[in-house]
Amino acid sequence: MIKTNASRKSRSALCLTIMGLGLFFSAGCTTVAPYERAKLAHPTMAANEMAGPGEEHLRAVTEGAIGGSAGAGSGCGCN
Amino acid sequence: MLGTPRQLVWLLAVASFLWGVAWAEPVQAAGANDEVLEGIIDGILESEVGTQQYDKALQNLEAAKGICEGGACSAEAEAKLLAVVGTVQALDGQDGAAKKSFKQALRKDSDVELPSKFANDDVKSIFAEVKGTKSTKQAAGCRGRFKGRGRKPFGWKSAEAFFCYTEAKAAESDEDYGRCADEARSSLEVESRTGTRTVLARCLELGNRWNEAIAEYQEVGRTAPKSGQFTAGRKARARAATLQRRMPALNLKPPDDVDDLVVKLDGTELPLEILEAEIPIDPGEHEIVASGKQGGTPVGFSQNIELEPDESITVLLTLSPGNPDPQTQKILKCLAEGKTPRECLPTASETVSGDLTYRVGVEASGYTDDMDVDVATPSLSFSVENTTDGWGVGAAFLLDVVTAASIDILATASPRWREARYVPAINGHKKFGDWDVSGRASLSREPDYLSGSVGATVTADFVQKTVTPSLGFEYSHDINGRTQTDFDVFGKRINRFAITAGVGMVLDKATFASTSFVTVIEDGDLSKPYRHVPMFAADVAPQVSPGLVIDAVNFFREPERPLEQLPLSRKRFAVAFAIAHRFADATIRASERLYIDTWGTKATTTDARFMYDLLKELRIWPHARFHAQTAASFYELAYVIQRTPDGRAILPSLRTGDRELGPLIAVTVGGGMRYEFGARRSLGLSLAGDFIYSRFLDHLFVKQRLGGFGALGFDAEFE
Repeated sequence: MIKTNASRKSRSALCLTIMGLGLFFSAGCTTVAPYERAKLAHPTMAANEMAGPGEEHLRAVTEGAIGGSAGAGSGCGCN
Repeated sequence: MLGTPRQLVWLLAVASFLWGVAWAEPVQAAGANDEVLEGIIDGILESEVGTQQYDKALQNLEAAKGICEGGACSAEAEAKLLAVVGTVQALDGQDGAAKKSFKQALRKDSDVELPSKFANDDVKSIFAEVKGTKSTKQAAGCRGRFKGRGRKPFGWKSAEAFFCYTEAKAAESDEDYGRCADEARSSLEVESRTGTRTVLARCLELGNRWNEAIAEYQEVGRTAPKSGQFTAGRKARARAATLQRRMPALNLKPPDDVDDLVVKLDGTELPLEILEAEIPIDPGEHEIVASGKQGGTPVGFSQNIELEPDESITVLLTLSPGNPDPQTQKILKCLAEGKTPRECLPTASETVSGDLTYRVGVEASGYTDDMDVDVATPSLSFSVENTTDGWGVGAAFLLDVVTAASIDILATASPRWREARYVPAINGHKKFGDWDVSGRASLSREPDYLSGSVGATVTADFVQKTVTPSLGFEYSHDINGRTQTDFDVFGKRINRFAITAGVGMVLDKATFASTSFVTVIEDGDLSKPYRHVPMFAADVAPQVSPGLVIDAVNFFREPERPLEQLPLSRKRFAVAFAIAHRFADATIRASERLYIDTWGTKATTTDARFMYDLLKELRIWPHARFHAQTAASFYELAYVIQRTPDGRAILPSLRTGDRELGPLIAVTVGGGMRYEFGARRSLGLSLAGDFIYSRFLDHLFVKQRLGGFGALGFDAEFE
């Protein structure tokens, strides 16, 4: 069977992703009791995006990429 | 035997994944309550003491004491609790109560320290006074204060010794018997005198340190006759005998069936051999703590006693597993369910249901750049949250006012224009146990573009909220129209589907990380109906350079002015990683996004903020961002128009003049600040600004752009 370059590359990418996920999950296996989370409860540690609505919209318009924050698309003809 | 190296790599990959997913430490049982107590203390300090709610803090600290009943906490942990109680009392102006608490704390652990972040100079002074080290000079005692000169009465060899003697007498008059004893000892270090030692013995006696007093009286009784002071010697011996006769006695009865028994009296561990014998003990307050194991189960005992002279008591050390009162049991159960100390501790005005928190936010932001594009974006948001019942609803409104006379506008000889976009949105969420379901809807309307979207996300809390996976879906329907033309007359329909999968993880006590995968499928024609793309002859196109000015482009271009034409569908993929780590007074947040789509664009975006708490109310941060992307596969600097033999033009099927589809690099540097004020710091003022430099690597008309963004926000939270 002849394996194409693209097939080899996608399998390598999948392999790296699985290893990366394994490392990621294992790094998160430390248990932190609820009463030890004073630092995690600090407002700067919130999971939501720190940027306000104006900055989020600016990024969506001036960068040709999406993802990493709440929105999945521009929803405007701003470009 | 493993096969090829490729098979070995696969085996390692699968093994590491399975190992990482399967190896999850079980939640540890609560065990001894030291850690519980410490977590509760930290929570009270951050939430109540930090916001000067001293009454509430003292109530909760009092409730926390119940956790230690039955000897369930170590002396060090209880000492820390008492030190915090004393700190809060001192901050609240209750100096007398603070001294008592500090005294109790020092009795349990003489090395106990104050919470450094919350103890101001007044608190430290009171603590030092109780500890007997009020100031550097007083810590050095009278010998540190002695100036080197002074009168030396007849019979004294040392003026310094006399000075310390007078200080001891003064302290005795003030009934400060601890200081009296220290100063008397300092005098004795320099010059040993019967009178000084008698003062020492008397102050020790009056300070309820009878064991030490007896030793000093006996020393006076032994040495005084040698210097001819027979009366003083006789009185001292008599006094020592009296104290010995009247010395209180303590008898500790240990249990029979406890292993690894440890018994401490006032923090000092007692040898087990002296148990069941009478222990001479100073009059006054004492603490007895015992711990051990009964059938493998940790058991404990704790009791405070007060002894008067002539009194003898027997204490049965009845160790038990610890039986917290119902309120403490409720606290422990609440903590075990994954809630924070703030959520678990009783409040002064406790409500069960209908506990609503309202939040209002206003932001005014603006953008301008050297390409004459100005944007003003005021926005307003409002939300109501019920943390008890786990639901919330919110609404927001954003207005975008864009004024543009950019190079794109000038290149088509169009006038400067202004346009307003209106964006109302609503959202809501509801918790069902460990699951949270949220929904949102928004509308975006401008004269030539209409968009409506709906979405929903499901989030779950696993392993006591240390793992939080989420799955979201969003659908939007857009109409890409033309100005001053009805959408029914000219409107290209675009459907957009997005799926977002993510997971947030608590890595340690101060670190949170998350990763997310986004897939967006766009179906429809996103081509701009106003964007004309310059065309060039095949022999001219290679000579066109990036940044070629308008006049030169118009000179070299072909006469045809086709509109932009983009592919009719696009699949977009992004993976993002984010991490946040909290230091003592600062937080660092960083994220990385990798992007790819079926139009051939690849991008990387890195963002970082370092948020530093200058004061409890004031936070500042620098901000940096880097974005780099490649061009779409159909993007060209100069599109070539082909001609048929009869001169008809053959246009490239895909063509665009959108700079954001070409290769570019954008660097952002800026910063911000946030000031919180009002009761419980419930009001916030935020200010942020960024400079954005974009470099267009392969585009006509312009090579770079410098823009500035600023935002001023105000938010309020009230119940």
